[in-house]
Amino acid sequence: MELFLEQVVDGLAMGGVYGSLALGMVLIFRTTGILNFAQGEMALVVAFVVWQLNHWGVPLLVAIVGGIVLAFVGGALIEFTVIRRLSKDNEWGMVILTFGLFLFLSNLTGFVWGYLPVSFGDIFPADVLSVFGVSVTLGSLGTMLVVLIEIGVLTFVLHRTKLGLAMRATVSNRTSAGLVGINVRRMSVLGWGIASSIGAIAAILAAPTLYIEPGMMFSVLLYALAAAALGGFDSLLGAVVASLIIGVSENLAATYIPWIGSELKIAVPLAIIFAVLVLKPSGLFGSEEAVRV
Amino acid sequence: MTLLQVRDLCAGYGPVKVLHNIDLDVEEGSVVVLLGANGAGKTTTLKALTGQIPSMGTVELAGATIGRSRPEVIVKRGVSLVPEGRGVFSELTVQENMLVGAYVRSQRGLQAELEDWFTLFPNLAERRNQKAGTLSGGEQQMLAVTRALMARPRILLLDEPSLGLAPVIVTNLFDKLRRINVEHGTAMLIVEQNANIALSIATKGYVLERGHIVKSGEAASLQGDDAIRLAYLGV
Repeated sequence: MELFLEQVVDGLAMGGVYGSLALGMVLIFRTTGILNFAQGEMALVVAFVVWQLNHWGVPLLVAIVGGIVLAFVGGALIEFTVIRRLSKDNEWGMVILTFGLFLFLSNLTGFVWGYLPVSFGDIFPADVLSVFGVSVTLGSLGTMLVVLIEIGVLTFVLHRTKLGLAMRATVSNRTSAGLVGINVRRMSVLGWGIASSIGAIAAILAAPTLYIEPGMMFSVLLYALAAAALGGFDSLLGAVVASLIIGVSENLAATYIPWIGSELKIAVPLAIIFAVLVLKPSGLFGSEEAVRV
Repeated sequence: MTLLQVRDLCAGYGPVKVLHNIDLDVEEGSVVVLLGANGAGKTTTLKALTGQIPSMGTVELAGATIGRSRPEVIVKRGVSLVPEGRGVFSELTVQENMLVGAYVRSQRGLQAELEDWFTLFPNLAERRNQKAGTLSGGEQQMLAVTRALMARPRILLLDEPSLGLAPVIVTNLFDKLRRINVEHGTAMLIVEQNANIALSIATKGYVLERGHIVKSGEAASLQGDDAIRLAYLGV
């Protein structure tokens, strides 16, 4: 029983990491209608920058804050320089473009920082709490807490502020958004900036366990995509809940089903997505309009 | 006094010129109708006036040039468009659609203003928390009108508001438009194919054919014009 609960808690923490990246993807999808395959690699660059700053002697917390700010600027810059050059109606072009960005950033990190894994150590204290006999690391708790705060802030901004209303209006109908006076280009830039910051938090949270190396975010990206599909592409809460389900189920499957183990566990969430998409194409929490993806 | 003054307006799509030297005036507080068949350039005129497509010529609002600005700038200057096909934000609720209409304004006192519009459009009040995409065509048109009015425009441009609506709904809609014009003094430029009902609330009309203004005059005289009756009034 203890082993089971510990696996669940570890799964929730890992799910929180997937959830953070998935939040970024859902946000970009909701504000610009684009599925950003480069989300993980954008976050990876930031993780490397945080490591580099820390390596140069900048305190870790300061480096992390700097990294998140840089992520915002970088995301906004990518929208400004590359994404807006392509028509929003060219959906396949967008897919190819974000894939290209994925390859470019992936190779860029290898070129600059090499292919040896690095790490900046623990973000949260390494202490272990004992809750009803179950050992829970502060790292797991902290990760979950960060993701909860993220979703709270995002939901507040999107649903309770004028800026959020404008962002949602822009996703809903770009032409009409311009006609009521919204600067739609600025909304896209903001959407990419915020999403990039949230994605970067995912990479920073994952860094102590996964180590930072080119390719580190690839499996996280797969899980986040899975979670976004599972939760319904336009639901923030759905993406996070689905991420947690995926994190827990892959952990439990790897522990309890002998022939799955740690190698095959990546297939578990994919099997779940398959089942969900067959039964409910709009995802667990998605609205029908998002089915077109 | 002239509120909207358009001179020598030319516009089109790429190499295709659609509008040729359009002149038109909308007086303060008046309702002006722009009649024309499909493809005459009615929607193009409104797109040019709201900065959605490039144009040449001069467009002045109360003496100040507004031509060639971006759509979001033109709204701030006091020109709001109710686009063809309504263009409501389907995924947003009725109330959110209206609130976002006031995007260019200060957000104070909006709630009281919402209630005013809900009194005029009780159907919308009942559905204020529903997604706009679930409304009927007529309700969406009313919503598009109120959304545009939330910006407190000096002039409201409407692109074929009667399109696709049942006759009884069209009558109701134009009745509301007339009330808004009288009670709020909002000037209107209405593009229509339904000439009968549009001329019934208008003071003046223009007829557009293949990108040229071919006729203009008082609404009453246009209603009595034989050529117009034959072409647009179906009698």
